[in-house]
Amino acid sequence: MTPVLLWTDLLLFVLLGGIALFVWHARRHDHLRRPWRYVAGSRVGMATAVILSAYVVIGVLDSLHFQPHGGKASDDVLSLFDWLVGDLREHQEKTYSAPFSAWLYAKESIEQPDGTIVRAYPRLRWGGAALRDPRRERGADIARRVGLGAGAALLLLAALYLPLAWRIARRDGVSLGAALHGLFIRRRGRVAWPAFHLTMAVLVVSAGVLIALAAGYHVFGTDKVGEDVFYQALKSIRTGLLIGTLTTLVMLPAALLLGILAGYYRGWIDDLIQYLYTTLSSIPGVLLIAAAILMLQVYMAEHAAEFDSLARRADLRLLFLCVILGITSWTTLCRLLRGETLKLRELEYVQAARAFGVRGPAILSRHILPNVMHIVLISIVLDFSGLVLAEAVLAYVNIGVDPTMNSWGNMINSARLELAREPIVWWSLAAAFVFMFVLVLAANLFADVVRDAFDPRLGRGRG
Amino acid sequence: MMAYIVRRALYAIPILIGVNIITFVLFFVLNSPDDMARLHLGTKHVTPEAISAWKHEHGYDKPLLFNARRDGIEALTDTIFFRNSARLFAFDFGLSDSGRDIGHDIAQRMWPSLAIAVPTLLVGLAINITLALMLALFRATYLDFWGVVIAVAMMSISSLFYIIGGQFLLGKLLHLVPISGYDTGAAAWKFLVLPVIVGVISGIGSGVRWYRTLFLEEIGKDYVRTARAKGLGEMRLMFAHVLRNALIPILTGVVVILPLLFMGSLLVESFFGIPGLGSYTIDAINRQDFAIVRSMVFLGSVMYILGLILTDVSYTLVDPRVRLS
Amino acid sequence: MSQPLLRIRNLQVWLGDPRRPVRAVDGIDLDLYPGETLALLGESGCGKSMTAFGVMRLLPPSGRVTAGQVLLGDQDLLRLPECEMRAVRGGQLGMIFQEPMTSLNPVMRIGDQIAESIRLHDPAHAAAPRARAVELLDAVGIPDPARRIDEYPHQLSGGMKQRVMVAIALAGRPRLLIADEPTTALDVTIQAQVLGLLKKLQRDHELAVLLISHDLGVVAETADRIAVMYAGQLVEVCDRQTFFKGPAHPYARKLFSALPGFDKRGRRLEIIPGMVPPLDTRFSACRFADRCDHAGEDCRQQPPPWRDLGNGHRVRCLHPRSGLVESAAAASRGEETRAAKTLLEVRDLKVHFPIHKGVLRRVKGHVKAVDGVSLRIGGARTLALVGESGCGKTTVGKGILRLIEPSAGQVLFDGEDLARLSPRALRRRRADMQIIFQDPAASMNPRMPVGEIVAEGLRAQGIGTGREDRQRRVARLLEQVGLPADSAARYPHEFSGGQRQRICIARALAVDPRLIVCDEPTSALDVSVQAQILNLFGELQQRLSLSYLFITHDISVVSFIAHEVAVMYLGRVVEQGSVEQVLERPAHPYTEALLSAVPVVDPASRRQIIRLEGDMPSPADPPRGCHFHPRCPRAMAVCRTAYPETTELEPGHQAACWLLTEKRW
Repeated sequence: MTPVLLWTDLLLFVLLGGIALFVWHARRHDHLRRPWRYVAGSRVGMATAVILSAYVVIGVLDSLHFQPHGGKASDDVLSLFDWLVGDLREHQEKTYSAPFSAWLYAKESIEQPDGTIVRAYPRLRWGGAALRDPRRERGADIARRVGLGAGAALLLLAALYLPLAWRIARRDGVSLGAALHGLFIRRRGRVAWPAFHLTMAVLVVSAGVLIALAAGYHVFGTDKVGEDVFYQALKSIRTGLLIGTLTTLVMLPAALLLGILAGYYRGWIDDLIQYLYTTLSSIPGVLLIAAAILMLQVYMAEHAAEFDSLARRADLRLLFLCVILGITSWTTLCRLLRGETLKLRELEYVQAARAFGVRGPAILSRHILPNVMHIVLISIVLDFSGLVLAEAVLAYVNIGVDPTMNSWGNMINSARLELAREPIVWWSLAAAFVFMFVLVLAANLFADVVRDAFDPRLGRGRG
Repeated sequence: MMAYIVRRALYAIPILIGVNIITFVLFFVLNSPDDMARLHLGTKHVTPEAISAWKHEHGYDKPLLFNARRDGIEALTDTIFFRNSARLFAFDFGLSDSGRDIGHDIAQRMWPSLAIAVPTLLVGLAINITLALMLALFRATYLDFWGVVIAVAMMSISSLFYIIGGQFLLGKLLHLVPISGYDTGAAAWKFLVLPVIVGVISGIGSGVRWYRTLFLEEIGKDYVRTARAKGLGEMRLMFAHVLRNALIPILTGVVVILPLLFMGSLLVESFFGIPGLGSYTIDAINRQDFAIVRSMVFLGSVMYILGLILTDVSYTLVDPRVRLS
Repeated sequence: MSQPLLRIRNLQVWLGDPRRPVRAVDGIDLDLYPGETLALLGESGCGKSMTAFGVMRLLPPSGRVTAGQVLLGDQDLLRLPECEMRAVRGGQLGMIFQEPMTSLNPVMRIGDQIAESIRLHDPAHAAAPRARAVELLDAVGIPDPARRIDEYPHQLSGGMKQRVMVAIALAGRPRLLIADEPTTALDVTIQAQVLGLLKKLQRDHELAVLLISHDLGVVAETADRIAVMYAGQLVEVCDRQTFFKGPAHPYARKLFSALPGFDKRGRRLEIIPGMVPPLDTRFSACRFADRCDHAGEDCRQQPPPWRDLGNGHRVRCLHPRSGLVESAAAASRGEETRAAKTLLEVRDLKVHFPIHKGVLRRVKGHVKAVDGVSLRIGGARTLALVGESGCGKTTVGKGILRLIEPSAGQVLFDGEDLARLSPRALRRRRADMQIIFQDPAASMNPRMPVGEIVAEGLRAQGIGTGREDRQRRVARLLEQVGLPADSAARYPHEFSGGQRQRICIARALAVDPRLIVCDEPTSALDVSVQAQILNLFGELQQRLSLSYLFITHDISVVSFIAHEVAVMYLGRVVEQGSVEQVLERPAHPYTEALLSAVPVVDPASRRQIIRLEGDMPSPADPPRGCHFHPRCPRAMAVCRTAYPETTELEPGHQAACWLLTEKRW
C-alpha cells in the first residue's frame, strides 16, 4: 500500500491547515472571537455547522488516497473512504435497478431450473440478495434493518451522552432528566448547544439507518453500469466541497492583493488593476471556462503519457476547473475590496498612521488588511453554495469535471438522458439533487449567520 | 453626459483588445492550428496537404502574433490574430470554421433568445418585487420569517432541478405544453411558456431575498421616520417612499443585464431545444468552432460594457442626486 | 395659567431585550402649555430623544412604551388606535429631527414632500396643495419658493433642508412642535437663522415647542421653561430666569461650571467625575449620587423625592443648591504671556483639488479648498483656527502635515520648509508634529489593542529599544493621560468617547511632538467630558511646552484655550490676532456675525445677533471680489471687484476687508 497525494488533496490539506492556524490565532484575539461567538450562539448557525462538518468529514476521508497494491500504473487509486465503505463500492449490478429493489430494471432471458427460458426481471446480485422471497419478506426486512440501524445509533448516542449528562447532573446537583433536558432542549449560556446536540443526534440516527439499509439494499438504486447510486452520491461530496472551496482559495491572493493595492495607492496602479478586472469580467464566464477546458482536453489528449492514472488525470482537470472558475470570479471580490480600501484609507486611523510616517506596506498589512478580512470571509461563505450549484450546470455543458469523476453534475447529466424511459429512471437525479440541496441549504443558512455576525453595518454580534 | 458616454465608449476599446488577446491566447497557447484542422477534418482525410489546405482556407496559415517576414505595420497586421480580431471591431464576424456566416446566424438566432429572456425578466421582476414588498410590509412576523426560509430553500435548489422538474411535471405528466422544441412566428408561444415559467421560478428565491434586504435597508432610514412623523399610513409609506428609493438599485441592477439578454441562456435554451444564441454557443463549444466562440466572446464583452454604460446613464434618470461628468 | 396642551404622566420607554431592558425613559412627568417653549436638556444617552419618540409613537422597533399617559388635551395618545394616531402625528403634533441631511426623501421633490402633509392634515388646501406649499416655503424663509418647490433635497444646503423640515411640520397646522436637536448638525450662523425662524413661527402661530437640546446656549436663547434630564429621569424643572440665575440640582450646576469660556482661562474647568450609570440596572438611590460632590449617606439609600422650591421650580434632590454657579475652580494653570519663539510658520499655503471635465478628463478648474493661508504659531502657544464647515480649516491642518499634498506655499517648521522635504526626510520630521482627530472612534484601528495603537508611533519612528522598553513607555503615556495601566491590553470599543480621545492623545504624545494639530477634538463629546479633555490639553501644554493648532468651530472653546485666533472663510483667513483682539474687538464683518451668532448662556453678555443671509458659496466657484460680499451686511461696490488686502490694525491683529482699507485712505 502506497499513499498517494493528489494535487487537490494537497491544496485541501493546506486549506485545512490554514483554517487551523486561523482558529489558533483567533482564540487569542477578542475582536476575532466575538463574531464567532455570535455564530455559536445562533441555533441555525450551530445546526448547519454540524451538517457541514459531516460533509467535510466525508470529503476529507475521501481525500486520503492510496494505492492498495503498491504504486503500479494499473493500480486503482482508492481513498480511505472507499476502504471504509468497502462493500458499497464493490456491490455492482449489471445495470439499472430501483431503490430497495431486488430485481434488475431490465428484462433478461433467464434459464429456469427446468431448462425453459423466460424473459423476466432477474434478481440482483447484491440488492436484497439475502431474501428468499423478496416480494413477501422485503417489507419486514427493511423495517428490521431500520430498527437495527436506529437502535445501534441510539445506543451509541446513549453511550456518548448519558455519561455527559450524568456528570452535568452531578456537577449542578440536578436530576439526570433535567441534565438531558438542558443538553437537548433548553439552552443555558451563550452557545446554542441544544441545536448542536439535536442535529448531531438526528445525523447519527440517519447515518445508522442508512448504513444498516445499505448493507442489504441499493438505497438509491443503481445506475446504468450497475454502480450503487448512494455510493456515487457520497463520493460526489468531495468534488462539490473542493469546487466550492479551492476556487476561492486559488483566487483569494490575487483578489486580496490587487484589491487593496488599487484602493490604497490609486493613480496608475488603480487604473491598471481596474482595467485588468473589467476586461476579465467582461468576458462571459461560461465561454471562458469552456475555452479553457477545451484547451485542457486537447492538451491532455496529446500528452496522454504524462498522466499515469485516470485518477490523476481527473484530479488535474478538477484543479484546472477550480483555477479557471477562480479567474472568472475573483473580480467581484477584488472590486469590493478596492471600494472598501478606498473608504478605509480616508479613515482617521490610517491618516494617523501616515502622520507617524508609517510606510505604505506596513499600513496595508497592519491597518487595511485586518479591516477588510470580514469582507473576504463573508464572500467566501457566500460564494461556496453558488459554486457547488455551478458545478452541476457546467457538467451539463460538458465543461465540468472529468466525466469519470464522481460528481453530482455528472450524475444528473448522465441520468437526464434516461428520463425519457418508461417507466422513468429517477433515482440518480433524486439522489444528486437531495445531496446537493442539503449541502447548499446548510451552506446558505450558515453563510447568512456568518454575514450577520461579521457585517459591521448590521452592528450585531459584537456585544 | 454626452462627454461621459463618449469617454466610456473610448475606454471600451482597450478592454475589447484585451478580451481578444485573452481569448486568442487561450485558444492557441495549447491548441495549434494543426490540431484544429485535424479536429475539423475528422479522422479520415488527415493528410498534411489536407491540413494545410484547411488552414489556408480558414486563414490559419499565418503566424500567430508577429509576422517576421513582413515589414513595418504589416508584421503585425498579417497575422492570424489581427486578421481574425480586427474586423470584429466593425462587427464583421466572418465565417465560422464550418463555413457559415456568423453575422447572419446571430441576427437570426437572437430573436428566440429574446423571446424567452425578455418575458422571463419582466415577469420575474414583477413577481419578485411584489413578494419582497409583501415580506417587508409584514416584517418581523411569521409570514416574513417563513417567506425568507422558503426563499433560501428555493435558492438552494439547482436550476437543473427546476428545468427537469418543469419538463416532467408540465410536459410529461400533465401534457400542457411540449417538452422542448421551437416554432416560427406566433406559434412559438407554447414552446416559450415552459422555459419562461422555469426561468421565473428558479429566480424567485434569490430575487425575493435580495429585494427584501433592499427594502428593509430603506425602511431603516431617517427619511422614512420623517414620513411617519407626517402621519402617513404604512401602505403609502411603502409605495411612495420605500419602493421609490429601493427601485434605484433594483432597476440599475436590471439595466446591467439588459444588453446581455439577447445572448440567451445556455442552459435553458439547450434543455428546451430553443434555437437561440445560447444553444448556438453551446453547439460551437462542443464542435470547437473557434470562430463562433470568439465572436460570441467579443459580443458578450461589448454587451457587458454597454450594460455598464447604460447603468450609469440610468442612474441619472432614476436618481436625481447623480450627475455624470 | 391656561390648561396645559400636553401632559406627560409617568412615561416609561424600554429598549431592547425584555429580560434586561434598557430603561431609556423611566417615569417622566411634564406639562407643556400653549405658546411656550419647553427645553428638555441633557447629555447624550439621557433619554431625551426617546421621550419625544415615545410621545410621537415613533419609537425604533426595539423600543416600546411600557407605562404612562401622554394626554394631548383630553386624548391619551398612547391609547389611540394607530389609524387615529396618524391623524394626530403630523397634524396637531409636528416634529423636526436632528439630521436634516438624511431626514428628507432624496428622490422626491420637496414640494411633493410638503404636499403629502397638506393632503393629510389640511383639508382646506388638500385639493391644490402646491400654492400652500409655496406659501409655507416662503414662511420658513426660503428665497424664491416658487422655483425651489421643484428641487430635490440634495440641491439645498443643510440649513435650507432644516427649513423644509419645518415647513413640512407646519403644513399640518400643529399646536405642538417637537424639535429634536434641530440645529446640532448646523453651523452657528445657520443655527442662528433656524432658531430665529422657530421663534418667529412660534409667535405667529402660538405654537408650543418641545425643544430637545444638549446645548445650554441654545436653551438659554430660546426656552421659556427648562427640564433637565439625567439617566432617564427629570431632575429639575423651572423657568429660564430661575435656571440661569442658579439651578438647584448639582448635576445642572456642574453642566454650567464645565462650560469653557473666556472668564475661565488659565484655570481648570470643573468636571463631573465618573460616567452616567448604565440604564439597564435597577436604581435604588439617587442616580447622580456617585458623581455628586454634595451627596451624603441619605442620597445612597433612597431615590430622592421631588422637592418644590416654589414658583414652579421643582428639583429631584435631597440637597438642592442655590445662587449663581460660582466658576471658581481651583486655579492651577498660570496664564503665561511671554512672546514665544516661532515654531511653525505657514506662508501662503494653497491646497487646490483639480476638477476634471470632458471627454479627455482635462483639468477644467480647481476646488480652492485652501487659497493662500498664512499662519504663525509660537512655542507652547495655541493658535485656534475658526470657521464654519467647508471653510477649509481641516484641509489647512492636513496640508501642514502633508497628509494632503499642498499645491503651493511654504510650511516652515523650525525654519525648515516641510512642503519641500523628501519623503525620507519628512518621515523623520513626523515625530515633531502630530494630529488628533474629531471622532475618537474612527481614529483607532478597531482590531488593535490599545497598547499597540499607542506604540504605533514608537515603532514607526524607531523610538525605544525593543519590546519591553516600548511597553514601559506605553504604560507611562497612558498614565500621563489619566488612563489605568491595564488599558494597554484592551480594545478601543471597550472605552467611552472621552477615554478614547485620551488614548489618541497618548498616541500622539508617544513621539514627543512639539506641535499637535487638534482637529475638532472635543466636538463629538458631551460638555462634561469636553471639560476633562480641555483640562488635559492645558496641563500637557504647560508640562511639555506643546504648541497646538486648534481647529474648531466652537467659540467658547477658543476663548478658553487659545492664545491666538485665525478666522477662516472660504479658503482664506479673514482675520487673525490674539484672542482678546479678535473676540473683543472683531474687525471683519464675518467675525462679527460669527461671534454674534454664538448662543450665550449669560443673559447679560448677549449681543445683538447679526443674521447672515444664505450659505457659504462653493469653493469650486468662489464669488468675485471679496468672498464674503454676497452675505455681508456691509458690502460696498468695491467688495464685488477685488479681494481686499490684509490690513494690520494693531500689532498682531490683521484683517482683510475693504472697510478697514477705506479707513486708512
